[in-house]
Amino acid sequence: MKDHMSDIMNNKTKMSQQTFDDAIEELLAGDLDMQQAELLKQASASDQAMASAIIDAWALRKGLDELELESVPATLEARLLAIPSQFQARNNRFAWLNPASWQVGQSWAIGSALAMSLIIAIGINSQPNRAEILQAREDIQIALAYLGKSLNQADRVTRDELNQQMHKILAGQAPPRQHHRDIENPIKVENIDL
Amino acid sequence: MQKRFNAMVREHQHRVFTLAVYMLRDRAEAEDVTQETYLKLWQRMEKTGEEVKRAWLLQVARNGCIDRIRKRRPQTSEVPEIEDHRDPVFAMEQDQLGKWLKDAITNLKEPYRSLVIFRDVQQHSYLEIAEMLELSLSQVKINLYRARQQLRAKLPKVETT
Repeated sequence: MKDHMSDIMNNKTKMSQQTFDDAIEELLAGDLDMQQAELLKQASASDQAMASAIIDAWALRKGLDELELESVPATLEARLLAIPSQFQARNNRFAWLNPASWQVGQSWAIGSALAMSLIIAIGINSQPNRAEILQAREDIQIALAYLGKSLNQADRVTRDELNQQMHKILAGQAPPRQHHRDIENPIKVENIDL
Repeated sequence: MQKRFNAMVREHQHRVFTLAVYMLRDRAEAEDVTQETYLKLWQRMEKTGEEVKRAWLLQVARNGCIDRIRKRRPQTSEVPEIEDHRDPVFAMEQDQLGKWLKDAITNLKEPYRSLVIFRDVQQHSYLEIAEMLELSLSQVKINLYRARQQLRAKLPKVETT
C-alpha cells in the first residue's frame, strides 16, 4: 500500500492505471489508514481526474452496497419445503420396482402371499414337509414378482384369479397339484426375467 | 434429514433466489432454478446423507443459471444507457441507480457477473467465492477488480468542480 501511496504522491501520471485503481479500491474498502487516506485526499485535491475517479468508485460502491437480497415469494418457499414429501411419495409409488421391497415390504400383497402359501400347502397336503413349504413360498414370490410388474389392471385380474383359487382350496376343490419343480433347485426370485 | 433440508431452505433460499434473479433478470426463471437447485440438494442429501455446504448450493444454482443463459437466443440489447446528465451520479435516484446496476451486472460476462453478485451483493468472503467458482484467491481478486472497473466505466461521468 505504501508503494501505491508514494506512487500517487510522486507522480500519478507515471503510475500504472491498476496501481491507481488499487489505491482507490483500498480507500473504499477501508484498508487505508488515516494518514494514507489523507495523502490520497491531498493528491486528489489538485488532480481533477483522480478526484473524479474516486467519486465514480465511491458512487459505484454505494450503489452496490444498497442492492438488497431479493425477497423469496411465499409460494416458492412452500414449494421448496414440499420437495422432501413429494420426493418420498414418488419413491414409494415405484418401490415395487425395487427387489428389496419384495422381501421386506409390508404391502397387502406380501401378507396375502404368505397366507396363500400356507393355505395352499395345508390344502394340498395336511402335513407338508419343510421343503414343500419353502417351495410354496418360492412360488408365491414368483407370482408376486409378476404381480408387481403388472400394475393396476393386470394386478386386479391376477388377484381375482388367486382369490378364486383360494376359495376353491378352502371349499375342498383344490386343483390337481402340479408336480413341483426340482426341490433341489428351486427357482429363485432374483433369477426371474422381468 | 428433512429438518436439515428445511433449515437449508430457510437459511439460504434468499441467496439462491437473488443469485438467480441477478443472473437471469427473470423472476419466473429464477424461481425454477431455485426449485431445481433445492431438488438436487434433496437428492444429494438422500443419497449421501452428508452435510452440504452453502457454497455447493450456490454453485449448483449458478450452473443452472448459466445453462439457461446458454439456451437463450443471443441477446442483442446492451445495458441501457443512462442519460449523461450534469448532476453527480450519486445524486441519481437510488431506484434508478439500483435498476441500472442490476442490468449492468447481468450484462457482465462470466465470471465477472458471479463475482460481483457474490462479493458486492451477497457479501461472501473471498475464500468462499474462490471455492464456489473454483478459482484461486488471487484470480478472484483480479477478476473482481476488472468487473468493478467495467461497471465503473459504464457509469455516467461525474462533473467535479
